[in-house]
Amino acid sequence: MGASEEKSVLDAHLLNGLDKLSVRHGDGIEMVNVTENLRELCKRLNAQSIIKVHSSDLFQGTHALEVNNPKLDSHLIVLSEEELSLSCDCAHGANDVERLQYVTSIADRLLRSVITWLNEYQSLPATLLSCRYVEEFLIRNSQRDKALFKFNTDCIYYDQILTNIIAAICYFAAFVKSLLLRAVIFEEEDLNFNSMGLQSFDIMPPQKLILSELQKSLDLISDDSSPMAVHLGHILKAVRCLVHIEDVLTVYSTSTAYLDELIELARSLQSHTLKLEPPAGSFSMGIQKRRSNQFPPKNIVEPDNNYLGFIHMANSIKTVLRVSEADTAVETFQFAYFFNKLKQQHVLARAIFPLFLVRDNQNILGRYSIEDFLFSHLMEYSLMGTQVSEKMQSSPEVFQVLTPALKECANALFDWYQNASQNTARYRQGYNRQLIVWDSVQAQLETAELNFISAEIHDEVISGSDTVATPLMPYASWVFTLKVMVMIEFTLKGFDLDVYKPYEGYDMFWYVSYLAFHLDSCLIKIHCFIMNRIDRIHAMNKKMKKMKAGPKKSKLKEDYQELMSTEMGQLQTNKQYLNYLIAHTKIHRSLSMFQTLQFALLKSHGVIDNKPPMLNQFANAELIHSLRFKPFSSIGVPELPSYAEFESTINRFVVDGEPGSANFVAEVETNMILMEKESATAEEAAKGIIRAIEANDKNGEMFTGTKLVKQESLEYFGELLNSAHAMNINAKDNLKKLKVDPSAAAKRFAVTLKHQSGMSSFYPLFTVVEKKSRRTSCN
Amino acid sequence: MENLTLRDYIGNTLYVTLKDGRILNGEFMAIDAQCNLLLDRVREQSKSATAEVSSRLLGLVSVPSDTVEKVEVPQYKMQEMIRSRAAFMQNIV
Repeated sequence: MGASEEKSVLDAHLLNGLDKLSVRHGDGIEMVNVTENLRELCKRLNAQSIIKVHSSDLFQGTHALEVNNPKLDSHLIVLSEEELSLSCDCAHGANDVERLQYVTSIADRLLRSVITWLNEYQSLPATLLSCRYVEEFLIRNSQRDKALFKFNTDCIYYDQILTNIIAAICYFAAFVKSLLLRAVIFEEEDLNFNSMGLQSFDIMPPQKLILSELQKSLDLISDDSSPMAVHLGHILKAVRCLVHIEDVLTVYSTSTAYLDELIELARSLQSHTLKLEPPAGSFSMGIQKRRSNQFPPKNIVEPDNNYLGFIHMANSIKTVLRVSEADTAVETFQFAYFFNKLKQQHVLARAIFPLFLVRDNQNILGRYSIEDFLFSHLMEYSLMGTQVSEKMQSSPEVFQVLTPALKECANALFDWYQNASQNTARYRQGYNRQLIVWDSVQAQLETAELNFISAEIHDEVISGSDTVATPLMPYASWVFTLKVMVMIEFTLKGFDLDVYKPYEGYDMFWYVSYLAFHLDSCLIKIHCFIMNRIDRIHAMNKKMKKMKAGPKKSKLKEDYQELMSTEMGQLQTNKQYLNYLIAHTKIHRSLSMFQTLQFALLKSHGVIDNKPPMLNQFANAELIHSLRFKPFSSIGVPELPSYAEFESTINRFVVDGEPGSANFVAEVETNMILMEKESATAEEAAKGIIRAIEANDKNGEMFTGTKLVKQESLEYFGELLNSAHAMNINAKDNLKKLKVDPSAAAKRFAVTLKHQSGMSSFYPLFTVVEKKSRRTSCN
Repeated sequence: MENLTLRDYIGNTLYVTLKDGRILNGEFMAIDAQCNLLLDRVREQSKSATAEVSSRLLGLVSVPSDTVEKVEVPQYKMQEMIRSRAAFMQNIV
């Protein structure tokens, strides 16, 4: 028998079996019942076996819904008779007064649901979409062409006012959805937009139509002075404000009129005392049962009297709009650094910020091109007064070598700005991602800037205790500064998010002090360069005074006047900005050094170790350390110190000898004095910055660039100041506890990381606590 | 059909009628020894008390075996599966 004949016989044999099976028609398709066949095949499997699609990850299965499980099967949701029978095609209420009361109640609950959705992170089906009228509006509106769907109950309260309020709220929700689609905030992480398969959010009528319909609704009740009508009027106006919020991105409006009005309306709505009861069944879990739904059932959320949530939202958006008042790159940078730092801004404000800053046409705040914006950052830091900036005009061809790196640099800068408005966890993750980019940009710029030397462009500086001049590299230095700031922030943010265990405290804080040391060196180098440049310009004036009148003097005078008008002002500002950056770095350097000394002192008493307490054959201390420092492992400069270097530093700080012995006590006292000095240094630096902020940068000490985020920055440095103070007191308390019986301390005490309100979450306290006694028996 | 294995069914669309009358159809992702099914891109069809049929998408759904009334496969798909199995067996021969 040939192969083809053999195949056809086999086919015939197998297909013959099909005829014996029950065959039925389903959806017009003939079906074969395979139930028994599957059951038989399953019986042959081992109890633990699973047969699956190759590409499928069984972990996905943990997210699956489950048939007949009341917690996972939305089909099992039980709806009341009222919920099942509620019709949107008849006006509920026996008379006009009752109908007005019902419509006001529905609208009131809907508006409060917006806050429950956005401020309280509840899902869309549990809030807005729990309203049967909203569901019906979205279904029926999607079936219409352009014109707005209206309910048809023969009652203006339902057909005009309720419809228009729902349309406006859905319009606002569609705007929120558009923000999600632009990937500036994230589904589930920042808010939930489970639209239950309703496509209507994507085809909303234009803003103009919504606004005119709202106005018509307001006109309809303008003559009614009953408390219910007044309340409904306030709701209509508040909804109108919500519709206008998109203006900040569609026309980049900086007007806060609608936000201010929303704040006033929210206060007024909050104070109402009306009894509001929507028609029975108008809010339910029904949509979760009726519509496409990939999520487990969720109880609907009955909103509180939460109108004040709109005030938080409006104020948060107003805060973001303040960035348009930034006059300089430093002010813009400082705004982004502080506005979302201590208190997470409202999700809408966080989404609006990057889109308002970097416009659709890649324009920054409608004022600068990307290149200009980046250039301003450089000029306001390290580029002003350099030969590089001087010759940029005369020999532009020399600078073409910078172009690719600067493009990447601009992208990294925007990424930094976008990251500033992320939620607190993603913010740290974003910094992690940026590290490699900044490092690569720095390397490219360094290579390019080394070429300038061969083109006779020398910007050199002798800083600190150096005796040899080093190249300034204004571009690479700026990138280095930003990169190390990001590294410090990333590391310290881990304490804020409780990422680290107490035993990791030493490594992380020592690394911060190491980074701060390198950052400080860079800042001092640039500061020195600026000072030298300022001195040179002033020296021209002195030289000029000694010269006799003539062409040489005239030329010098001309040059001097030119430099005074074009450079001196910015150089003075840059110098003061550097003073601020140096002081800020000093705070981190001193506080982190304090923490390393504190840790070493606690280790000396045996109450903590810098090794993980539980190790097994698959892990050792070095591996775990390497895992923690993996984000920094590929950074070129400053190079990540080896594990051995981390180990050797702690051994230098640890006090040898028997706890309680005279030598031990004396060395501990010496360490405590060092720690006091560190906290005093940090306090002094923080106070200096606070003084400058309070004086609006006009006290001649520093330029902090915080005029737009004065309160936020004051709070941040205030917390650092409090930390410096509290760490000192805490260290003394710790020592007091350990001193009672130093030899027994290791058995009796453990160390925890403790956050305290009013203190910086970057510097939790290493606190000595009594070990919890373990139960040896159970009753 | 007796020569088909569970792997032959995997990846195909199953029509699962539940004991409560619902019909789920979706891509067959996995099955265990207890005959519990995992289906993806599931569409659920159900009848209301007024005999109105409604249909909706559910995504990834686990179907415990004790909820299953019957499992069906479109006949044309079945034929494809059988032919594939036959070709496979012939290659082995």
